[in-house]
Amino acid sequence: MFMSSLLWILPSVPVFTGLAMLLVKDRRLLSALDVASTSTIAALVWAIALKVMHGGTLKAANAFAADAVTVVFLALIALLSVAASIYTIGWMRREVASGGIAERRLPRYFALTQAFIATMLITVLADNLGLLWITMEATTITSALLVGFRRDPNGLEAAWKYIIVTTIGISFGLFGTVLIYAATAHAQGGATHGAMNFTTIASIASKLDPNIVRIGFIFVLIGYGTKAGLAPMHMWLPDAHSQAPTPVSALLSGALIKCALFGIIRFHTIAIGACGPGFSGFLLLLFGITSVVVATPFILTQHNFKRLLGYHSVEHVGIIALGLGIGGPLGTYAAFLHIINHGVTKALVFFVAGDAIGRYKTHNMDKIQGLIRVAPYAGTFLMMGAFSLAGTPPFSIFISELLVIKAGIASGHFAAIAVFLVMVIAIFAGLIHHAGKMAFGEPERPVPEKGEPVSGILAMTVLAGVMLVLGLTVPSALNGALTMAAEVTLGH
Amino acid sequence: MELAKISWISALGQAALLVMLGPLVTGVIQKIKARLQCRQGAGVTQPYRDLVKLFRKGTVQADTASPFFRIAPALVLGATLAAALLVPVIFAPVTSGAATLLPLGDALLLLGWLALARFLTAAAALDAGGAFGGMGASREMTVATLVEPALILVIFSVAVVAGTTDLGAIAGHPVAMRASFGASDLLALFAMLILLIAETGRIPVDNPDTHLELTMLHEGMLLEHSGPGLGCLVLANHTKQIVLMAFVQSLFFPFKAAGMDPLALALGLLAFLLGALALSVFLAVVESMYAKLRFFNLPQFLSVSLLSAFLAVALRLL
Amino acid sequence: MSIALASYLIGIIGSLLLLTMIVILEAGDLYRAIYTMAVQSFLIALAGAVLGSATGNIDLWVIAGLTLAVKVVALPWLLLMVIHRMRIHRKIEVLMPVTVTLAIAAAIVMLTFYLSSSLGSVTQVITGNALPIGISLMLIGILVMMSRRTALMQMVGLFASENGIFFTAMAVSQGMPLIIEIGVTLDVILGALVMGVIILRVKSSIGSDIADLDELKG
Repeated sequence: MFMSSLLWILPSVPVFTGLAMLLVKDRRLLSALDVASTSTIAALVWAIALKVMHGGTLKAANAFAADAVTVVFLALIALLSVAASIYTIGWMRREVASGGIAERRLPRYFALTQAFIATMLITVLADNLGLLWITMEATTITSALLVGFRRDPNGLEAAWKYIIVTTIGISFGLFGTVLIYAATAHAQGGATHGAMNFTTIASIASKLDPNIVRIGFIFVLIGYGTKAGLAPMHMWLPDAHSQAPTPVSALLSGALIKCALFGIIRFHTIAIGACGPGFSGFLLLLFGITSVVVATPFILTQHNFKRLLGYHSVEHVGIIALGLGIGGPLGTYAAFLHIINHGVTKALVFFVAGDAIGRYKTHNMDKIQGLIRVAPYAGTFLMMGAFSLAGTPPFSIFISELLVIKAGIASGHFAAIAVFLVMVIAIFAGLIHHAGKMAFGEPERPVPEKGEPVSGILAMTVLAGVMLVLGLTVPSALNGALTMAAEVTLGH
Repeated sequence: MELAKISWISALGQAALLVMLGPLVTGVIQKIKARLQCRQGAGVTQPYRDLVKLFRKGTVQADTASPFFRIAPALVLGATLAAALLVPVIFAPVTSGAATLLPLGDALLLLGWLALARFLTAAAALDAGGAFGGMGASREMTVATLVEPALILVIFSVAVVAGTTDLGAIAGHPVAMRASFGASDLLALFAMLILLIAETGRIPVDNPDTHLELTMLHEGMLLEHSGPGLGCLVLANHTKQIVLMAFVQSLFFPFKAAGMDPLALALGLLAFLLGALALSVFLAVVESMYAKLRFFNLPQFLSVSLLSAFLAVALRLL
Repeated sequence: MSIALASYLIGIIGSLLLLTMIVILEAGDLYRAIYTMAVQSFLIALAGAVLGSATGNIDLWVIAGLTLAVKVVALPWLLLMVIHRMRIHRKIEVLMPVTVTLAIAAAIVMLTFYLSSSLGSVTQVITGNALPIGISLMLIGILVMMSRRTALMQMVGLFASENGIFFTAMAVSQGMPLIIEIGVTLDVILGALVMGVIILRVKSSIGSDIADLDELKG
């Protein structure tokens, strides 16, 4: 009983903290509240995870449910929130000092960030598909305000594109939801009781009319896929993720687009039940490989550091979709593992990017040089992050990409894997080239400031640590969670 | 034999009625427009007086005009009167299986007569060799290119259900079918209302009150005519307007008498007059609310009606 | 009200919705587009009332009232406020000729009707022709967004698109759960507010329409 109410308590922590923050003016107190809130979230997630792994799905109030899939996502959101809040301590100090964000607007920034985290938590906790949609739209609204927070024209342009494209995108998703709802009501003989709840729908998935589920899934894939950044609906992503404040970028790229994938995964399960794994798998494969292919040339010819990372997110979301599309226990497991790996790694590199951009006062990668000399920790993490993103051992992304390839070959998707490998190799070359130039070499005159905030180093260390650990082995608890998540997705 | 005689008598009678009421309808529209624009306006019988005036005057003709120019107005009037014969106004007997009346009301033929009238007017305008005539003729023909396909599609959307393009049959169809005024009918009606504005040459397609060069489509073609010739053309214009109103009513709101008894005929006449009044009000209101569209924007406006008519047919068939 | 009558009325409302959508697509200036969108939302509220009295579901009446308050009154008022603050021209520039967009719209409508006629028995759950009309409205709304250069016009296209979704959602069985509909409406109005804020901020800081901003490329 108590454990179920944890599902309620979890999102209310950031909500109340956010409201409280609106009354606080001091930057340090705000940051302290931030860290406290995210730490509490992490602790609660830990408790929920333990309960779900041992006791099965937790449910609350006919609206929330936490199964293994939820746990994976909750863990990611919690980890990234903690890291972001630690990083923000030092980052915000620098921003306020340099005038990037006015001091009196700080409460709003922190409150919005808490609201953003809260909406993401509710999204992955939602059992009711309508609630899922509502909170997904809420994440768009809160994060759009954050993207355009600095009020410069580029930021506002990015925020506008973001909110318009994703809103129209997820209204496609709403339509798909309505269609699935109709199919469920029809299968229940016109009764609508529970027809919005995922657990109910999944249990009768085999009785749903396959035609309408197919159409519904297409709408959902295009809709939530826009939010996730799948090509060709990805146009807003590089703009939004590059113009946002750095901690927000990290959360956007690391956590939010994964939440959109959460929606897709839920409907994927329904589609597998109703039409068999071939249909939705094929579509996911198609969009996935398209994303990888479309992102590659933009990565290679990019000059703006954060835009590069944005396109990278498009590519990696494509890889996750590829894993899901290949399907089977191994492919799905790989996709879930990649969700965590990419989230962690991308956040790390965004932190480094934020640091570098703040130091060198430019987004242009050609102008950023000699980072290792100027800021040794950041430079090291840059190289680590770059190697990881490119898929090198001993980092985590290598493992998940390898598993995807293995699953693909095992199930005969040779063409897709071949294309994937070519793209990955191209990206590896480009990324290492860029990172190497940025890390090594002589910094240009005038020499940028030295001295790195401890909080920044701490946040990056935590993430890098996770990255390394997952690159060497998958801890058994996590392994169990991922396997269970894969099973739930495939409908066993 | 009886049936054929009834057909012809009713057709001729209805045509005469239309010709006589035509100018009155125009007068009513002008009066309503005047009132809406806070003017007194001329009386409703003014068009009759204008016609009488025109027929009494002499003809002045351009040197470059040929004999065709002299007889064209009469031909145009003849074509329009032929169209008036084809549309049921009051009387539309119910088809009873095998024994159908003579198909005197084919909708496509009606459109054909009106198109012939338009062509003759345009040809005569070109014949006169004036600049206004040429410009008016070309503009009118451009509008016709967009309007006529839409009209045909509207007819088809109704004919698909009725099974025939005979207006008498469509109008006289059993009540049950008319009661199911559905989605497709709405789209067709919307298209038809736009087309009514275009065909009768009213704002926002054309300005019937003016002779300024920039706003003339129909009026431009009439500019060179005078006297009885002009009288014929003006009468043809009035008749065309009321024929189109009767056309709209037959397609969408037919309340026609089924038999020859006086009560039914009276009711039918009343229904027709009410319908004509409603459409007159509609035209007058639209004329007072909008300004004339630039000629370049006309295709955009008219393609909305084409789209609606097209959708109406598509939805019927799907 | 019987289900058959409700079905018939929904069919009529559906075709009226389609008409309003065509008018929005063809609209030459913002005011016409916004007022037509208000009319369209009014039709949606009407549909909600019809369905409410046909199924006896109180929720649908509430939704109808909510739609009336938010999408017929509040949302157009918000858009008009933004226009007033922006002091922009009335004429809208288009990216492709209107006649082309009209042709595409016709193709979309035909495709969706054909598609839903081939779906079979599952469409019985959805009253009347709400499914094809809903999809058509959604897709034509996106067409409006793609072919217009004014930010406000893009917003109008967005809201018209969402009207289509609402229409289908209301017509499914006994309508979607009330709390969901309330949530969706809330999201719409909040989204509109944020969009309005962004537009005004851009206008006041650099003086141009946000849809014209093109700096972020590549």
